[in-house]
Amino acid sequence: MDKFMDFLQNKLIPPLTKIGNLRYLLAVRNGLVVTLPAIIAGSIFLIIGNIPIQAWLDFIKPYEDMINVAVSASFGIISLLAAIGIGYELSKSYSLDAISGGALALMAFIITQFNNKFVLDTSSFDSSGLFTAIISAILATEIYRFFVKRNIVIRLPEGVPPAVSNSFISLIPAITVLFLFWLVRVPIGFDISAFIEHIFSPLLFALNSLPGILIYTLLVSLLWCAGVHGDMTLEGVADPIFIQFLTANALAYAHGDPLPYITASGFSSLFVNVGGTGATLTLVLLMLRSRSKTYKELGKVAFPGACFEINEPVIFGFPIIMNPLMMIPFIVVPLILATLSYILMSVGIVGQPVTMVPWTMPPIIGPLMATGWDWKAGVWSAIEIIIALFIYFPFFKMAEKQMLASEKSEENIANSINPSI
Amino acid sequence: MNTIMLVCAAGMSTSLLVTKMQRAAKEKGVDADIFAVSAGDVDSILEKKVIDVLLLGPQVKFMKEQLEERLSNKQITIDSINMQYYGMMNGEKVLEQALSLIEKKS
Repeated sequence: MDKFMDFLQNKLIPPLTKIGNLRYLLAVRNGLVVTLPAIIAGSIFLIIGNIPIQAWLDFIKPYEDMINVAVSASFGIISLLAAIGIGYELSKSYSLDAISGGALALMAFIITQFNNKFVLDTSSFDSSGLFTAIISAILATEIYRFFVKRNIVIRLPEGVPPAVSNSFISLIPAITVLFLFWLVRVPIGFDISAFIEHIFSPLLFALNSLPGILIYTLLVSLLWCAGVHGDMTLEGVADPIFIQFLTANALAYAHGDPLPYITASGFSSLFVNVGGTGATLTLVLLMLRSRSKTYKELGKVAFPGACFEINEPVIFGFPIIMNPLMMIPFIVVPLILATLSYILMSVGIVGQPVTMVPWTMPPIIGPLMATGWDWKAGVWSAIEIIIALFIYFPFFKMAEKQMLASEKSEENIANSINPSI
Repeated sequence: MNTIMLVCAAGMSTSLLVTKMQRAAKEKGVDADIFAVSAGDVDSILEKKVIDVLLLGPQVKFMKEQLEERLSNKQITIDSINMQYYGMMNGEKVLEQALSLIEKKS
């Protein structure tokens, strides 16, 4: 066990946190935040348009196309927003004028979206163009930086308002970005967008497969076991993919087509990690009824957060981190729940995520909303809590026994020091 | 006035702690401005606000080195929150930690 802990802390975690701290991935992570309001706002339209009450569905049917406009204007432009956000964040990290970087990134992305007849094709403005948006934003910002760093810019005399002089500083980079992307896409005729999406397609395939999602789930849990925020560390790589899955599902759902992906955004946060990573909600419930004072107190502290999927009190307070006993259920429960959820979704018993629900949405309600009101998702979420409860129970009892013993010995010491109490 | 900024991934779990710290500060009569932000918002907040101490949630402790490097020109003490206190959401102890860091600085 010591060897395993050593491996975890010294071999596995440092490279992973290093990856999570890479400048490009940080920019992707922070840049994608810009898309979230649009995704959640679009989701609200989807949810309202699909409340499973027949009278409502009959009433709303004639307006379906009108509602879908709102869905297309949010889900349908995710890649545009991502290009701006990532260009902005990456420029900011280089201390360049951030909004100019966002604008350059958007321009670069737009050029890649012209078809062979030189007509702008908006079909990949939705999440299917996300990786093209990421790469375009990074390239455009790097070109921007190249010129500013070497001071190859048009500078205006002092006293000119900064807004004006900034737009001149980005002039030569803008010309270069426009020319290079145009050169590759139009005269050379190379389809940048198709090429990039092709390169990333194996990654998309892997993360939508059962082994892929299990590896992801395992890594997240292992990172947390070492006290590192696992979800956040892997976000830069995983988020573009899960968001892409979700928006593809949402658009298919809005048009009544079969849903293409299972592990869309929400699968991990709502179906696997019930009550926070490691599905620790059940552990909190167990603590609330514990005879140990320490656990009971911690249970009370942790319960409100756990209802909204926040479980740092459990992870650091119990503690789970570097605790060989509790690491076992903490790692095993999510793997089991991921496997079962995956199977139930792939055979069509439980609905797949189609709308973006904030990850802080409580169990049962979150899965209900994320699947577009599939009652079976709500029932499944409740069953998941019971499954997790059974697995955590024996481990909790062992921990409780140790805790009771140490509480008792502390009490004895206190009594012997001051017998009058 | 002591300005204490707490940082974690989404600023959620640290915000739980903030309420407890504010209560502790009130009880002790300490004049303190305590708030929580997400990791992504650190830079934009620092542009607007002068803070004395930046406390990282233990789960994002790995950001410490990078932040120290980036904020080396500012007079900000950066530390991570003790895991046990964080787990028990012990506002009093974390406030003590923050205040002693500020004291050490001046």
